[in-house]
Amino acid sequence: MITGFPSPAQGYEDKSFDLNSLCIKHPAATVFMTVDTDRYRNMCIFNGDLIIIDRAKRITPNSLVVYESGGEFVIGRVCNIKGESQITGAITNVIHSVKEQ
Amino acid sequence: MILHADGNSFYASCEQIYRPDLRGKPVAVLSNNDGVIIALNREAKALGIKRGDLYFKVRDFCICRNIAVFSSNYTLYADINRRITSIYMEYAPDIEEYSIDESFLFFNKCNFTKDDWYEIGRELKTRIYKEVGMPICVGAAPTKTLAKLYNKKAKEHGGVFVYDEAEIDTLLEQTDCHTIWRIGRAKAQALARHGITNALQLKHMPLCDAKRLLTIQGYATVRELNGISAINKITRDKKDVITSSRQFSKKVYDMNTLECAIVQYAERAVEKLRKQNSECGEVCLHISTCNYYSDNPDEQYANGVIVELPRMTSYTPDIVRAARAGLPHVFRTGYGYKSVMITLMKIRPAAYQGCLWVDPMEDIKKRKLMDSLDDISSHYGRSAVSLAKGFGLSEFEMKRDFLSPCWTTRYKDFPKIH
Repeated sequence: MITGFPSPAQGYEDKSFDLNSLCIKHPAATVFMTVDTDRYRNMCIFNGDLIIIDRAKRITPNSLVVYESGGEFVIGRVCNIKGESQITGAITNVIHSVKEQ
Repeated sequence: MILHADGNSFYASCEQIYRPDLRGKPVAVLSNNDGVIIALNREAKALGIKRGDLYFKVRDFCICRNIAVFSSNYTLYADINRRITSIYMEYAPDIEEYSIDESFLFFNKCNFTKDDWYEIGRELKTRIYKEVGMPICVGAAPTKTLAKLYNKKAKEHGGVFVYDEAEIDTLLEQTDCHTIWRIGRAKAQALARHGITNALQLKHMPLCDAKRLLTIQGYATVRELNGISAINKITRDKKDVITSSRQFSKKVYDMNTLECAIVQYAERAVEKLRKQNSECGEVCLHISTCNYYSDNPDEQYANGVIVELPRMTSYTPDIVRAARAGLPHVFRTGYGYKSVMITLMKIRPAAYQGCLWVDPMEDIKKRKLMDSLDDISSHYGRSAVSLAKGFGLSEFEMKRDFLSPCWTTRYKDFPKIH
């Protein structure tokens, strides 16, 4: 036997927020990389950050992308890339964990 | 129209996607246990090594020619395949994943021109290279056999090749029989004895002769070469045979270790059985010494036994017990065993079949135990709970000395940016 009052919130529940829905538009083309250098401080990308790359996103000269250079993955704006380089994809998000000092 | 698409040197290409330092370099992939070479990219083929070469024989060659060698990383290959398939799905709702690296895309009742098909093929090729990083080839034709042939020829045509009624006979005339799908070397030899050497002759072969000479399979092939669909889409919703097998990293001489392996692999097979909601009536156990390192035929031994279960079941302990009971019948002392294979047969969809001599409460208990087991496994991962006997096998785990990171699926393995 069920007693008591029904919850007044019944029917108003929402699913918990899914971060994927915000960060990932093309799941089949999305990959993750981690940053292993402090070179990109000026772009506010720090050592240990998680980079979300959408390989399907359209690239413009101003896009921030991951590309191949000297056998490594590096970050840069398309317009600043020197010479022929293979572009892996556009960066859509950078996830930075806040660490306790 | 049917499109056939496959990855170029799929395993080797998977290994290269997240290794920018390997662009244009030779790559080879090894079989389970690092035994033989199973995949090579074009650059590695050009150096003269072949599929099927024993790794220990070409190891020094690989080192001095700088060939990058990898153990097979099926976690990575499956993820790349999943990504590619989901892009195929955007184009064709009806897909047959023929193997990990090739798929048929079915387009029913599409009245596109040849140029349209070229455009679709090129778009697929460009998108999959850009979005996943895998180079593919696409062949388009009215039947599966022809689509496979066009795919094979696509490499000389920029990666996409579409059927043309006016050119088909010239193309077939230049094609040897044995390169046609499902016509192997043996069948090609039989055909050659009847004066049939190229695919055009095969196409015009009388159907009754085809049936007699090549069985019903070849009959279907001849019809397909004539543009009539005869090989249906294979659906693998439920398997009628389930196998689970592994090779050991070193030879096993004692019965106890073999038993451990049998328990582990039988458990895995039954897991697959319950996943497809079926029961089985027979267990086959096969043990063998097959290995690439010993050329002495006196040291080789292989044997199998089929154990019939008293009734249809998907209860792990019952099936494991049956498999273990088979071991004394095939085990011979003095041999170094390299592999164990468990096969479940006589598989039917699960249906409750009471038995006069068994208390129905027993069956309900068993069912409940298996349900909770599967529940725990789905939450905490496979082998969260397993039979105790299966432990103690770790030192015989598969050898994978050159395993690459799971670039796309594990946080710790994600590629690093420098």
